[in-house]
Amino acid sequence: MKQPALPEDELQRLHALRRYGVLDSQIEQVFDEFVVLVAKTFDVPIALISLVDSERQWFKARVGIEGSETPREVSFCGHVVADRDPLIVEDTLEDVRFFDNPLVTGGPKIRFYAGAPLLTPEGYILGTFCVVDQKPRTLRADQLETLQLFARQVMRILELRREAALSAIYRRLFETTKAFVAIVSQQGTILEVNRVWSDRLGLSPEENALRGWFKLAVPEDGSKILQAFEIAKAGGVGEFELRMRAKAGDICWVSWHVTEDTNEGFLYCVGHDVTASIKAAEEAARVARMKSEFVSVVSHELRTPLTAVQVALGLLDGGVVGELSGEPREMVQIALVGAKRLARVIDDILDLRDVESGLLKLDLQDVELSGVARRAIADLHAEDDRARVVLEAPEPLWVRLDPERLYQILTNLLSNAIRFSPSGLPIGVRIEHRGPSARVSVSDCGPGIPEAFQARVFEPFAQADASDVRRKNGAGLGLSIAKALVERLEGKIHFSSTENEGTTFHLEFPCVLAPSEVLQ
Amino acid sequence: MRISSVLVVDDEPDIRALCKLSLERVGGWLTFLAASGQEALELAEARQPDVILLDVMMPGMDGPTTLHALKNRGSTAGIHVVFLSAKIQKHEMQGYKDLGAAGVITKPFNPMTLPRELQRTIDAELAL
Repeated sequence: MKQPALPEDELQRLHALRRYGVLDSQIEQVFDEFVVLVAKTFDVPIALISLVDSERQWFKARVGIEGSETPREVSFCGHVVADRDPLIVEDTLEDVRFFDNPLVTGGPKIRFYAGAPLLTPEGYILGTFCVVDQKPRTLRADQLETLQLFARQVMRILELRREAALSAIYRRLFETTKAFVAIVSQQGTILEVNRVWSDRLGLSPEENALRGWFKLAVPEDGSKILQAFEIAKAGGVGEFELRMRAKAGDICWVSWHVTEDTNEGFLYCVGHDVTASIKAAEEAARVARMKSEFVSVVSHELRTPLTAVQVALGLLDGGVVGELSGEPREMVQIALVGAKRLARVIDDILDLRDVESGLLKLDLQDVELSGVARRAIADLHAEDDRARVVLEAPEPLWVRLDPERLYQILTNLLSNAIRFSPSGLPIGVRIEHRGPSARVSVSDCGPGIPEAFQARVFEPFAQADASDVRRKNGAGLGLSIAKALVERLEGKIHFSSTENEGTTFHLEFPCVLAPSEVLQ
Repeated sequence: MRISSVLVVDDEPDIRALCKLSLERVGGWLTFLAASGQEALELAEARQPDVILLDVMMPGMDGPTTLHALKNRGSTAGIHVVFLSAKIQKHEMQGYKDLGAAGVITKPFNPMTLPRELQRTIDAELAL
């Protein structure tokens, strides 16, 4: 026995077969009547509509035979699928392919077989319409043509069924999707919309059609529709965000994309309701603005009385309103130091707000790092005569940044280092080349940053130990500001720390050519 | 130019009083006080001070508006004006200078060095 071969397009063929949704379906009169009609026409006892599945042939309709399927390897129809041609076997016993086939040697004892392919519009053969007899026969050319005609009719019904089923599926998709869908004429008239429109905008389909696309949009957005339509008509995908007015008066933000079907001349528009995310973004911006305004007002309200306190204490301390000495002078000086610290905290909070909110304007220049570092170190020495900072800068390195901001970053890192270094031990500042970057390292000989605190070092108001605030004389904003500034300047900041040995903060900025090199 | 008289304009009475102490006793200058921009215009015209120390944030007529009015009057246009302001950014400083101010003194200021700082600001402007 010769088993039927598999066609080259077997996978696609099986996929096509499954898409008709006909395998293992219920008995249907229309197909049953076909097989009866064909059996009578050809005067044969057996007629079948057979669909060839991966391992079997399954009969959609049958007359004169028991059982609804047989294995594919013994099937005659499998040969029609493999050879892509009608198959006529006038006498199976005379045919080497079939004489020992169990369907020949056993029931239903096939002697004659003729099968016409069931051919899809895409060219796949799903199976056959076949006639079978238990005695040898012949089939004339015109009879074969009739059988093929029946096969085409069966195919046509399967095709119509599939289209109807697909259409129902698409209709269901159209109605159940959460997206806005509209089919629009080139003139902008809405031809069809899905239920989302009425659910979300509160308009009946008739109202939608009457109002038209443009009238539903907020007037300023009308031009966006036109632009997107032009893009779609040119074969592209028009994308835009549109504010649409619901019947209740609220505004619905919809993000659209529009494509055109050039055959029909219709525009297919699909839109997603993005109102929630736009509102969330607006709310976030409003909160950020409020926070920023709050910080400004509070800072101003704090600063005004603080100015009075600080200036008054300064005048007392300066002896302008009478010489002070002994304990009264000491008290005034303590108060003055406190007032100055408070002023610095307020400055820091404003700085942080400016950097974080993007209010900070940068003045970018090509800067030689050691010059800025020297200035920061000199100012620190002038302010604090106990500070000892040692600078190592073996070669001049140029970077592009705002020198005042770099000065501020270095000042913050230096004062942080001073606070945590035992007095008398020097702070090291090293400026060196590191790959394509320049690296500035500020090292102290302090106690190191406790491991548990390392993750929070750059958080505002973070302190390793709450008692540090008083002891170390800082609010905990210096490093937050330094990090925010470094990031604004597109640099990197990180640190390494060893307990009881010290901490080193590293800054990294991409190097640029020195001005002299640029000239060459 | 050696400064010998200053008009302080600030809506906060405490700040006015403290400025007066600093400028009179540390600087040894004749000091006039104005509580608003409007008052500043009248006093500037009447007293013709060498310098006006002008608060930026004031209710009603604020610092920049007052400066604009001063510079647009023939009798006061030549008086040096220095702003007194909360901490500012560099670009804001340039903005104030573009308005015609000689400079900015930031709050809180050091009363023991305020006169020196004012003198230096005026010297720097005249050197340009």
